[in-house]
Amino acid sequence: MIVSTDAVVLHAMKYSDTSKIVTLYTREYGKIKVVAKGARSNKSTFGSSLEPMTHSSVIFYKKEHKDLHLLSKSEIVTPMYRLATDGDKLQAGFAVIELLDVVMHSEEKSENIFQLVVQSLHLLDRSEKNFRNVFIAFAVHLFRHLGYELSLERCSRCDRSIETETNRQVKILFASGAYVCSHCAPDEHSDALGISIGAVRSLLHSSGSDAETLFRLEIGRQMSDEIIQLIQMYLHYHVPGARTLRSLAML
Amino acid sequence: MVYTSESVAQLVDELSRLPSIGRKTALRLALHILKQPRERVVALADALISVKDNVRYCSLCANITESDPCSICSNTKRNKSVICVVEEPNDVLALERTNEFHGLYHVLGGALSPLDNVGPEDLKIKELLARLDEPVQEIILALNPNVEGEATTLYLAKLLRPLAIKVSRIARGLPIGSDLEFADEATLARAIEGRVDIS
Ligand SMILES: [Zn+2]
Ligand SMILES: [Zn+2]
Repeated sequence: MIVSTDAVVLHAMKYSDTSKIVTLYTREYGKIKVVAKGARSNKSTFGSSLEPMTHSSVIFYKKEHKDLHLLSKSEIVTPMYRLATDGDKLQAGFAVIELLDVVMHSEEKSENIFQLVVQSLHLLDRSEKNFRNVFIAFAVHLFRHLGYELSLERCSRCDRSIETETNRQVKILFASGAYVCSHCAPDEHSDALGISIGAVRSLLHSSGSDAETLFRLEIGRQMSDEIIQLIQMYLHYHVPGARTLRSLAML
Repeated sequence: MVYTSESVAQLVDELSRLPSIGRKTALRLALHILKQPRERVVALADALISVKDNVRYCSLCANITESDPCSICSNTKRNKSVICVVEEPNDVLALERTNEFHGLYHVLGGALSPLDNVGPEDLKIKELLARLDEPVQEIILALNPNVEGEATTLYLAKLLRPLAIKVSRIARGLPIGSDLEFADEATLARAIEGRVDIS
């Protein structure tokens, strides 16, 4: 069956002297793998549309009950010229697609997640600093779409607003992703992560703001390290066997 | 698949570990090997062992070699003030074919690629930095024209910036997504010739 859909390129791997195997996150079919014959040649019609992070429109021959499909056409939808102008920006982009690759199973589609990843990559393309913020906001929204939302605004036990929290350290329960205030948090909680109140507030800001605020939001290195660690641990908890995100080490 | 011979099964198993060799191709190769005269098979086996026993990495440039330092590093006619950084030994061969570059090389052994689990510590970056005590005046970054190559170029440029060395990158004339090793000599020569200072 010949099908056509939009896709974000997650990964491209050399396959034989001339071809590539490309992992795509598609709008209509979720995560799939395709063979792109001739893609390694410098006369390839695929051009740069199969580079990681590219938003492309693809036509492929979808084989039933097979994991590997045959790509026939691919072209860039909207080029993101500024993505590859800064090493840190590229690492944030890698982190976005790596997280997506880790959490998505094959052929599981989601319009919301597709839009989120395309939007996040475009935000990165436009951003001039604070690239980590884009990744943090992406991760928070992704967790929400996957059904393990972080809920940080109010204590999950007593409903006190986090704004009234007086302790510098608070707890987030892994299982529910919920914040527990210092009045309610039992110290002995094993399935909870201690995190600074500042980091939680930054998390709330980054996931609730528009693009311009997100770009301007200054999260100190130590706090953003805490947030990144939370994302990684939360991922491990909800996606058993998920690997440690390699791109986070360089972000 | 059920094999009627344990040895064939084992050979298929080994061959199918090679990149882009599936089990069907592995079986075809195994049956082909079976039909060859014994001398051919011995020659193949010897070549396999010899490549493992005799080939090592040059302690200076990390290219593959049988003598250490390699023939390029130990050649007194080469210009020791320029180091061209590439991903793989193939790229050295491609650049040598142009007859355009007479400096030294440094082979990283790949490019930064988080989804392939390759980070800076997996590449010969420390080794590159260790060489900069030599009378090096320019580093040319000649990585593949793709996202991973770009990430590596930007990473190295940032790392090298504080040092008082000129850093340049080969001109962007190569199609993105293609491989350096597939570029023809003229294109590659132009890319080196038209390199851009990024230090
Ligand atoms: Zn409470
Ligand atoms: Zn050498």
